[in-house]
Amino acid sequence: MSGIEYLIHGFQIALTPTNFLANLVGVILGTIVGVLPGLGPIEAMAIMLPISIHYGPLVGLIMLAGVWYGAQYGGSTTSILVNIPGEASSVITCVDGYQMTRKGRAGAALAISAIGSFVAGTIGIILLQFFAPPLAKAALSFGPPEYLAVMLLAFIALSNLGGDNPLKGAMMIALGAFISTIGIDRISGVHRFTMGIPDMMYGINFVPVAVGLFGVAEVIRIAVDTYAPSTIKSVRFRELYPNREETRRSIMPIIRGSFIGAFFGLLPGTPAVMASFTSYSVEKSISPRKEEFGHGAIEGVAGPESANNSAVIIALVPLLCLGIPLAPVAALLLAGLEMHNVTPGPLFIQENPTIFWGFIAAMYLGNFLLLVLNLPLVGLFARVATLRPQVLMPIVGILCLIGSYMTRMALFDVYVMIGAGIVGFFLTRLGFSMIPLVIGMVLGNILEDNLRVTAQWLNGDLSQLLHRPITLVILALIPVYIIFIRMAGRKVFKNGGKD
Amino acid sequence: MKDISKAELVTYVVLCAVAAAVIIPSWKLGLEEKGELGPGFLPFVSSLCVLVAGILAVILNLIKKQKGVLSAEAEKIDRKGWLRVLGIMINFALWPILAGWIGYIITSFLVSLGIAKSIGYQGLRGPIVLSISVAFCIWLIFGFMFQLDLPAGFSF
Repeated sequence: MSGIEYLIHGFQIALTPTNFLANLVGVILGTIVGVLPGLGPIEAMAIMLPISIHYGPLVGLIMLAGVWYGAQYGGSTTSILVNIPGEASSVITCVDGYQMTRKGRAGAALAISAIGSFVAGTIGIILLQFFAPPLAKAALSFGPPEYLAVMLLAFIALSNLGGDNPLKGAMMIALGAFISTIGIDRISGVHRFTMGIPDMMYGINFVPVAVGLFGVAEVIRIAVDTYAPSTIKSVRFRELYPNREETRRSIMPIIRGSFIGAFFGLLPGTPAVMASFTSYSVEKSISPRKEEFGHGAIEGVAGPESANNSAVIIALVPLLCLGIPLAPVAALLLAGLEMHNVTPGPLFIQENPTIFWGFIAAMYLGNFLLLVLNLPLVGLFARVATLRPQVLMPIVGILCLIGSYMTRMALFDVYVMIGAGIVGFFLTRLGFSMIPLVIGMVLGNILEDNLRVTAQWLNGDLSQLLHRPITLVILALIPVYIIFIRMAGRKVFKNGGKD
Repeated sequence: MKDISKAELVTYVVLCAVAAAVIIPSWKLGLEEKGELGPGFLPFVSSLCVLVAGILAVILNLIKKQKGVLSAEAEKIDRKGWLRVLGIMINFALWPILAGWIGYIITSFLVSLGIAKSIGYQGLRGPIVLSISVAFCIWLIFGFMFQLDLPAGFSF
């Protein structure tokens, strides 16, 4: 079958009632959670992960992906309407988006954001669709040492996420890797740190830990630092359309943002954040109306919103082609797939064409659903942000409890979740980011498998890693990446931060 | 701010202590044998990383005399805040204890009510209506529609 035939087959799969419903539910729930302060795509996916694993891998993946881009868009809605970013990649949208709201152009900003997200998302999916299969073929030439090198790159890059100190990130990712080793060793059968507790023999499941770290910790945080619900300015349907001038000015920023996002999507770490800030910086630098930036320039909304959407989709390429997530959300998708014993990697597309192409088609549909739902219903979604935390948090709390129990139908997982929530709350308060901990847990087992296979392959002499050219190049990329990301980040964030 | 700095130091010490405590057992599990990595290799390396990074962070903190935590959230929790945290924790802990005994529906109602009150939901009618709705929706979605095997206890 050719690519187009596969895609048509994918649409047939994605349009089955179950898959379509999963997509719709994911997009709606994601958007609702995304508009809540403090809850972004990672938190939304962590809460939805236990629910999604009760369905097949494709339904679960479609639902999680829907939650992901729904939450991404939901975050932008509150950035524009109430100046509260739902998540980090929407921070820069606040600058001009909120100013547009103050000028009575909220509808136009929301519409451009939705259209930009749709266009960029579609460009991202097209690139993913065309580049993933050949990249996966190329990745087949990778041996265990190359995989190990990519794993190390992912580990080091992802340990730099969030928090106020890289050492804290390193501690958290290492701690996550350690937790992943608890339980019976799959090769030797030895019990590792089970402390004689039978439930620990099967290891500490990733899902209750993620739900605890992001969901429970958030409930506790809100109990301490309770927030006042936002007052949302109502947006009338007829105000939703940007005028001709705004549309004209948005076209190029959307296209540029889509490609900037596609580039950053391939980089490990927080591609959406870097992409949105870079896009803003680029638009501001080349615009003939520089003085408008910070005061409601439509380009300041169109560019970043497009960039973060294409970045999150392109961030799936390393996951689908190599089986190695280079972004936090991809790590959660990997966890969801692994719960179904589906392992992404170079052979994933060949061995699971139904899942891959069904997923690609579902992403097209989900993107379209977002546009169709968000334009007329944006005011309704935004009203979620006006709900009091006293109403929302009991719902989130019970969902966390039921969700973690559902993972393995074991009360032990609920205790794990509560423990993780308490630890997560205190560590977050002290400036530790929980994302590296979760990533360490997801990648820990994969790293261990790769280490063992590589050691066996190289007869225990890991120094031979340096004699393989591709491995050497990937290992050399680690310091280059760290320097680049630090320098570029500082420059780009500085530019955006001025506003 | 000094207290927060102390709290951060205590956290580093606790994390380092945990890491130090697992280094020897990891070693005993076996690091390497005949060119193959043993089951203790990754736990050993990861705990060593935690230990080294923790010690480095403490030293850097002391050298730079970073008295406060840079995190924006690092503010002192007042007495009311601590009581709320305690209330939330007790409510979460009650769910696994009670669910197996009185069933998940009544437990979800009670815990939802407890969380709502702990978080500062004023009055009684609002929290009760909310908790009944939450428990009903949980039953409707997970118990009735998805037919999941949730803890029933003696009540359901």
